[in-house]
Amino acid sequence: MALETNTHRSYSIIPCFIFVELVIMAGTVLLSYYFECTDTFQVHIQGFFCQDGNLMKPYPGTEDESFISPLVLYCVLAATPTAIIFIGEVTTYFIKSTRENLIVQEKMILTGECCYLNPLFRRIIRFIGVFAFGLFATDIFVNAGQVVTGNLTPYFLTVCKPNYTASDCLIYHQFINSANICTGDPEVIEKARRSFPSKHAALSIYSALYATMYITSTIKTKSSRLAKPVLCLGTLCCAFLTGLNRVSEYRNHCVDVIGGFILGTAIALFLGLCVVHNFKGLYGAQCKPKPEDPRGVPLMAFPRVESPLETLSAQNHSSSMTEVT
Amino acid sequence: MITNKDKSKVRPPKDSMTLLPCFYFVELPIVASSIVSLYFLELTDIFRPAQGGFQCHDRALSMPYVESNEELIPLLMLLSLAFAAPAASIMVGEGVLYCIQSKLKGRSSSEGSINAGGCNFNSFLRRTVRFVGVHVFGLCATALVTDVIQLATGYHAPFFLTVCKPNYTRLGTSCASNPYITQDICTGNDQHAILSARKTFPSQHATLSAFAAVYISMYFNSIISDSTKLLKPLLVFSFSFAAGVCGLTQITQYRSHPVDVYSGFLIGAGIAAYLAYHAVGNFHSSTEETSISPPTKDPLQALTQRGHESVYHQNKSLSTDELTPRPRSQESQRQVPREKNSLGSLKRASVDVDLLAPRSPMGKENMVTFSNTLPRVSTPSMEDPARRHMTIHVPTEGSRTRSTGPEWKPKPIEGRTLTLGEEVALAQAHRRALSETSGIILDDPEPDRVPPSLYPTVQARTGGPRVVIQPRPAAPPLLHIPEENQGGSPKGSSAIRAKWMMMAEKGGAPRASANAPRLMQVIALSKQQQQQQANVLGASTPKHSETSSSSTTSSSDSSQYRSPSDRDSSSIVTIDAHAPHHPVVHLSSNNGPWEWKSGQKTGEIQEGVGYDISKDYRGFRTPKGAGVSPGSSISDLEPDPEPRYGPTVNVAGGVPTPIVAEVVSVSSSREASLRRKPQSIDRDGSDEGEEPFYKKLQNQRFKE
Repeated sequence: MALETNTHRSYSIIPCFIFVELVIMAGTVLLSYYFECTDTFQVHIQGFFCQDGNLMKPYPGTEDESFISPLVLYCVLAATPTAIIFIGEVTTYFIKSTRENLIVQEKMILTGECCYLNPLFRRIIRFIGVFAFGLFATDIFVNAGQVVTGNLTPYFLTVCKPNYTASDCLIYHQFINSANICTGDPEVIEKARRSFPSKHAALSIYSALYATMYITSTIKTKSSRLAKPVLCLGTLCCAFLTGLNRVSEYRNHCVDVIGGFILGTAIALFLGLCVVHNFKGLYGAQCKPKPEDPRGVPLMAFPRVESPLETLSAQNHSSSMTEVT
Repeated sequence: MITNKDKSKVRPPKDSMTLLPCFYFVELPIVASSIVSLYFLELTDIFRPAQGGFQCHDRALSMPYVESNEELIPLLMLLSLAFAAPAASIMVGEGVLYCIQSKLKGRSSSEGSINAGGCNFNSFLRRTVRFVGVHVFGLCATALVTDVIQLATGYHAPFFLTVCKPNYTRLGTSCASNPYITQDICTGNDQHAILSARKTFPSQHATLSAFAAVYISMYFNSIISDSTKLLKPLLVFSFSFAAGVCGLTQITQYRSHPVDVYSGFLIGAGIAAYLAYHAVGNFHSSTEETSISPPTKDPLQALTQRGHESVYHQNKSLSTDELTPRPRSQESQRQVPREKNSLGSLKRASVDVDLLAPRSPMGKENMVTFSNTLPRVSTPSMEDPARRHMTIHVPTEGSRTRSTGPEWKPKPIEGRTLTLGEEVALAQAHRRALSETSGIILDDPEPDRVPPSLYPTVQARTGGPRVVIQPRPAAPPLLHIPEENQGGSPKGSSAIRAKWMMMAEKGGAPRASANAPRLMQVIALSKQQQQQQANVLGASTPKHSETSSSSTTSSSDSSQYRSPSDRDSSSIVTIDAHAPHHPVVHLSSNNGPWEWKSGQKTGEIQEGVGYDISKDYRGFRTPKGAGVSPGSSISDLEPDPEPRYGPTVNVAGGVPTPIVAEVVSVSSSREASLRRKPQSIDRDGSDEGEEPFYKKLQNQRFKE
């Protein structure tokens, strides 16, 4: 297999990468930064009913006191799929049998005069890049949902400490809509207004599902039947437990966690199936059905073997005969 | 929704009489009627929502009421956005696509323009109208479905109690005792608000926005290529983000319950997915019907292509002068009769035939295999006439042999000399014939009838076909042998074997051991020569022919080679027709035994060795298969049939004179090797025997 056959010359790949992908990526990161770290987007002020039992759960403390603290969670869910993809790609590249297949699928890309982008590099960049994009996109979705809905966390009334004397909370169905009824710490209250969908649930399920899809479609080993399921189910289980932990700590309603799961799942599935095409090569679909070039193979490699072609032709001798006669 | 199916089917390719009428009288009325019914549902009070009950002081229905003009996203804005944004992006996308496609002309995916009613609708216009039209219709359909469900369910909006202001005292009973209220006890003044508070499930906003988002997302998903990975998700996410926000505001503004919104999302997405998949074919061009059909042929095509390429390849390996002769060969077949007397011309003719022949089997394969299914295939194989003839060769040969077979059995001993040579061929042919379902076969005994069918046979047989054939093409007939073997050959071969054993015991066996090393050398040498041959294949064929001709001896004027040319002239064909049966018998009766003796000496030696060699050969063959280039392999395997047949033809040549004797003596060695073959067959009881036999032949030829 000469180099030329696997090399594809493209001058558009680098500009396309820089001016499209990177710009989109930068925009996404910027947006999620605004959502996360600034109060550019004000939370919608949601009202509540007097003495709503659903909102009077005990306050579990700040996020950092949680069993799964945000910092740890973010690090783990960002690092795990990245590491899995990296290791998987490198392994695939250095195992010979899969490498041939890979090179056939993927081609080496030659840009400009000197730059060879080999399949390993491209695949790693592609998969991890899409993963990162999806992570930020999920974050944006979650934040947008939280900001727009302004659903109240189960511990809202506990931290809000509403001053009911200001309004008459005599009737059972009295709906309190005013924002300044709360007397608690405004920062905590602002956090308590962000509940739907659960960020932890969405992010963890997204990253777990992405990693699972990668593992499922990439690792093809016949030797171990249980390694893959264990790996996949373990990852998914961790994500699931993260969501449940949110509920058990009264940080989110059940609906929030379910919504987060659905959101993360949808994004991961879309990215995995429609964007990276289940982690197959770019040209995988077109290349596979093509049989190997007979010219390249020494014909004596199959000396008198029962190749389907031969049996076919042999069978058709008879038909030809009848035809001619 | 049914209509949309029509819509996609309505567009026929090229000139269309039905395009405009269909558009005017099918699509437009459907869209118009859906809009009209939507108007009645949405903006009039003709249809009243179902009356549902509620509980006293239900918290879920006591949310504050946001006035219609204070809504974050009013219905009108939603409608215009849901229509305009996807329509605009579809137009932009189609425009870009059209530009790109017009730049890259010849894209198969592009739809042709259609002439209808004197106007030319190009693909851009048609696609845009189709997609936007389906989108508009989809919006109407979604709104209709939503309205119908809303009216049918009549669920209360979260703000129902707020606008209703129920007068619980009118119930007559206390709220505590009869919490579920079905009567209309509303005292609110805003009838419109109360009416709208009864229509909440599913959320109109959610369905419409979800429909628009999913529809446009699917459009992007099928339009945007993979070259940029993030553009597609960006657009898809932004649209679905907008749709999600649009739906969620309904919740935050207490206009809908969360359940309404989520189910609205599902309904809208479902309608969009259905329309995108089944009404516009996932946004692919409408000419899919044609484009789909080729893939079904694909496997076959690939197969044929492979065959072609191998033919090609082979021809290439055969060197350049292979290409030129072909036309000449056909020509020569006609001309040769005149030049018959000149040996050189004959030789050349034979060479030509040789050259021609190799293709024929391949061509045959190609044609036979695929001509029925794929007309395309026949084009590359252009030398049809010759090829056609070739096609038959195997069956006819087989038929011939079969017919002769019976004759042979009764008199095995006289025929021995030639028999062995002949019978080898016969046995092979026989087997082959059996393997092929032979239709013609039994006619042959009568010589008169033979010519037409025989003509091709002979031509093919001239040794050409096998001389240069690739291993593969040659293989099929041989491959089948084992299975069909049982039929008739065993008897004949057993007889041969018996004869052969006797012969071997007499003379050959002792010498064999002595000669063995030499033969090994020969093999080695031949190997080298094969390598060389591969290099000089063009030359090799002529040489090959020469060797064979030399074997027949110049005195015999290479009747073998004359035969091909003769065949063309119908007059001589008869002789050939005789060839299998009579002449052979003839010959054997004439000069069989003594000839044989003389030849046998040498032959025996070879033979005995051959026995060993056949074993060695097995080992010998495989490396060759692996190492030698295709070309060489071709030359290796093929040549045998020619020589093998050579003697037969000589006999057939109807020259039962001393010349033939000479021929036999000269070619005795070859015959010996030929003889070996049945033996090996017996031993192996399989096709493998033939290969060593070929090998041997070649070795000997090279030795010569």
